[in-house]
Amino acid sequence: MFGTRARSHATGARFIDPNILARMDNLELVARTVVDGFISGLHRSPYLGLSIDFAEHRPYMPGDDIRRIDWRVFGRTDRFYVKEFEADTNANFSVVLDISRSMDFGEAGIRKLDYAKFLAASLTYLSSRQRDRVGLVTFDSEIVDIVPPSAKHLEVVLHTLERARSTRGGSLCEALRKIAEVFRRRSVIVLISDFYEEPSAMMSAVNALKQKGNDLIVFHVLDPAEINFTYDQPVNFEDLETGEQLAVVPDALREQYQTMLREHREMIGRLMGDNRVDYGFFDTSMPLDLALFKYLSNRQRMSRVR
Amino acid sequence: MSLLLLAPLFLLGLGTLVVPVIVHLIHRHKRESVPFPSLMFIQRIPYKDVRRQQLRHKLLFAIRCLALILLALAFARPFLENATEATAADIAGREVVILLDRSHSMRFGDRWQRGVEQARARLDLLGPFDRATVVLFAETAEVTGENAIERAEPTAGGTRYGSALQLAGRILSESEQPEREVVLITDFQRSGWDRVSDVRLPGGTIVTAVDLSEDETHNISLPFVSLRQEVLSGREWVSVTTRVVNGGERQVVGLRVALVLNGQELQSHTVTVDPLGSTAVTFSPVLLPEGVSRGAVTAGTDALAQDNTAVFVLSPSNSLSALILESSDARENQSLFLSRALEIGDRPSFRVDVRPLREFRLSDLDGRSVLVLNDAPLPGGRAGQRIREFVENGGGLLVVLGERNGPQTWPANVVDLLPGVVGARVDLDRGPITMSTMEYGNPVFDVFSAPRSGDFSAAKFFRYRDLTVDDPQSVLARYSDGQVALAEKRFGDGIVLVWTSTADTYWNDLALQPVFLPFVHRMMRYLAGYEEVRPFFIVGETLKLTRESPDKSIQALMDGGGDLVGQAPSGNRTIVQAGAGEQVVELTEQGFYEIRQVDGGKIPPAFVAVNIDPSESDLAKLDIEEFLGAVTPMGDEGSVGARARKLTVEEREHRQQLWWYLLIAAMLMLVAETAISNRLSRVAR
Repeated sequence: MFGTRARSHATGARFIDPNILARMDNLELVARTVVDGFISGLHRSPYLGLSIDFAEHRPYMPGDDIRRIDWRVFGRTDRFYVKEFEADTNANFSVVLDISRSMDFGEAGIRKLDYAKFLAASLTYLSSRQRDRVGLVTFDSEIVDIVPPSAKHLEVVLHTLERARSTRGGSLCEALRKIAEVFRRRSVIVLISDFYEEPSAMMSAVNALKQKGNDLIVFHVLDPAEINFTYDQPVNFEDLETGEQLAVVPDALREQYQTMLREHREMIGRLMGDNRVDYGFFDTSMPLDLALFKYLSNRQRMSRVR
Repeated sequence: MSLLLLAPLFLLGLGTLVVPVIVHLIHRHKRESVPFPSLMFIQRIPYKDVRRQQLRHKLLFAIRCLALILLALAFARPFLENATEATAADIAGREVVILLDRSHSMRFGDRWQRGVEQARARLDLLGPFDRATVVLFAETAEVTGENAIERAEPTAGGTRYGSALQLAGRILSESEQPEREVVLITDFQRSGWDRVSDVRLPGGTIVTAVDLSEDETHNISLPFVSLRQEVLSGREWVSVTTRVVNGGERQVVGLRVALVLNGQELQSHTVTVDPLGSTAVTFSPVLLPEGVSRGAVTAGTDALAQDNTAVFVLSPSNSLSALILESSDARENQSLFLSRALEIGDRPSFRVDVRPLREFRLSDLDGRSVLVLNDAPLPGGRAGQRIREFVENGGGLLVVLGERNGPQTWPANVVDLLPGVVGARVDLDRGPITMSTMEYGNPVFDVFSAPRSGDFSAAKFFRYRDLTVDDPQSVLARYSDGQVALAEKRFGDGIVLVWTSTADTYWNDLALQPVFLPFVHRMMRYLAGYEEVRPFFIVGETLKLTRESPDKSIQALMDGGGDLVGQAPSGNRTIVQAGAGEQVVELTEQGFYEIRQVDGGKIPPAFVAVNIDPSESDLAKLDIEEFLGAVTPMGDEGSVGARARKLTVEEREHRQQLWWYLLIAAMLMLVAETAISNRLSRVAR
């Protein structure tokens, strides 16, 4: 349907090129496309609430907790059905999205901001399906938009995401401290940014978000050009945040740059781990569904460990 | 050889060399900005700006620069300027005829060597589609192979541009090549061009003149040698006179001029010759040795040494014997004017006997060349028969009509010797007449053909005897009344002349006129078939070997039978078959030719002296512009433009078309640049 770039995978899932997703105007459709293909059955939502209101039965899928199999139905039909309950609407799910100028960059065909929007939309859509209250905060150096968490705010969140634009430079630490004041109830917070900050300074701001019992998940989004530094000809690099220009001979500093970036990512990952924050790294050239699949699989394993 | 440019302004294009420099060095500092999310890492990297100023790919840079240089040069349209002109870059087919002068004057200094070098250079510069013909010329022109140029030598012959240009024109007119060119390599000797000659090359022919002459020449020559033989005290003496010509612009002082006879120097004089002047040198008479002698006059040596010597052959004079018969009742001193006129002169000398007709004996004609019947009738009988045989065998008969040999006096057995019928005496009572019409083409009168060369109209004729000729063509002279004055008839090998008036002053006063003596001499020489033995020939002439040769030594060889050999001064030999009639030996070398029997018989050899054509010693140069204008077609702009042999620079550039090769090289450079830069880009990625 979308001319996808198919790759074989153990689950047989098809992975969708972010570039193709970028051609779709409707973020809801993007989110559904990303999520519907594989999320069912995989997801034992960590966000399940305490509700016991029965919602429906659905066929058992590998991976479902066998404790949730309705044995009565099995006795009558000789088939496995799992009982679905109304989601726990007490859980808040919010995406905190960095829309600073540095996110408005993309050499791989899709900008980091768009990729982050898809990611945010997909997760919001996924959470909304799980009956969570969904919300959104966009920021650069200040808070730009706030959509408070609500069970009815899926469309508002998606709409807000759609019209989010990068217009200013960012200040992650300052913005996060302000955002931390917004969340008054325990929430699942997904922070999406490119994290061009000093890791140590950043962690203090991130920890501010973790207070009040928020479950914080950090998605680090970078473009392949940033990662590999694939520039060939000498150019003047212009900092999207500050507008500063610098003449650069890429060949001369590629190796050092890559090393520093790798250390930066590792530092962030380690600090996040130390502070029990889920950290996921996303390369915008990676299919969004595959990235989510990997992340969620990893999170599931981690949750078992926990 | 130097490199010239047709459009040098295009070299300004070399300024584009700064483009790659800008690309490599300067432009990098002015490149467009590329947005990047954050410079926080880049700013931390210690960065050495010097790398910006270094050329990363020097080979690429060099190739780009070279390509630009080649392009600029190609557009500047370069061509090679050769001292010898012309070019190897001709890609359009040309028919080139190289005319190389090898006349005697080319021996002067190093002219010949330079000429050969020029010819070789022209051949080396021919393009792959050109076709060349090498023509060596002097008196005549001949096609030779390219490889024969170095082996060729200048000849002793004169210069004749006409023959060479005619041959070149024939070659070019038969050619299908689109371009035609004549390269004339010569010293442009003025004497070699006959302005009357109407030789024109085919239309569109480019004439390239390669002038080998020098600005200043110094040459002594002996163009003239005169030999005067005289018999004094029963012995024959010879006086030699020569003229020494100084063709240079410097005075020649103390020049030694020597006379050599049979290898022995007999006399010498020291003379001074003014610039562009001449002086005569006369040696004292020397006793003529017996037999044939070989002599020479020498005058020092110079850059053209051959014409400083003039050779000649001396042999005892040949005298003609004449018998004059007059009637028994002849007038007093009837043959006086004839005999006295014949006794004067030495080339030839005459032995004259005057005898009454009644004393005529048959043996009187033995050894005679000419019989004169001076106002005496032809005898009949055996005497008449003898005279008839004498004429048939080549003897000459002069019949002088007068009072005593009227119509009735001619016996029937000899009357057919006469060219016509002798008639009555004609008395001109109304006044004397003159000779008005002469056949100047006949040897008798040819010496009188030029203006002021003899005035026959001064002679007055009062009487003559009518002669009705059988053939009007036999009349050699007529009186002013249209009647025959002199008629001839060939009879056998001999000639009969009939003069219709007396040979003294009885019927006319011709004997008193200055023309009488040469007139008589010419008649006697004509009747005797006399030819003077030439003391020397000129290179380029031919020597006829016949039994009728005036040279008695040659006569003897031809009469002796057997094959003859003609040996040139260089030793080259020519076999002459004696029994094959008239044979010819071409005289192509200076010096003495020896004609002898092949088998070394007893007959003494004959010697023939051959000298350089005096015109070859005149090194004066003709006007090249005028000459080229005369041989190039009228209205042929292309040829006219090339007369000065300066092809226009456009023509030279067009022929070489070096820009084409430069453009190809530039294209190759650019292709290589593309390939290398692509490869480097891939490697970088």
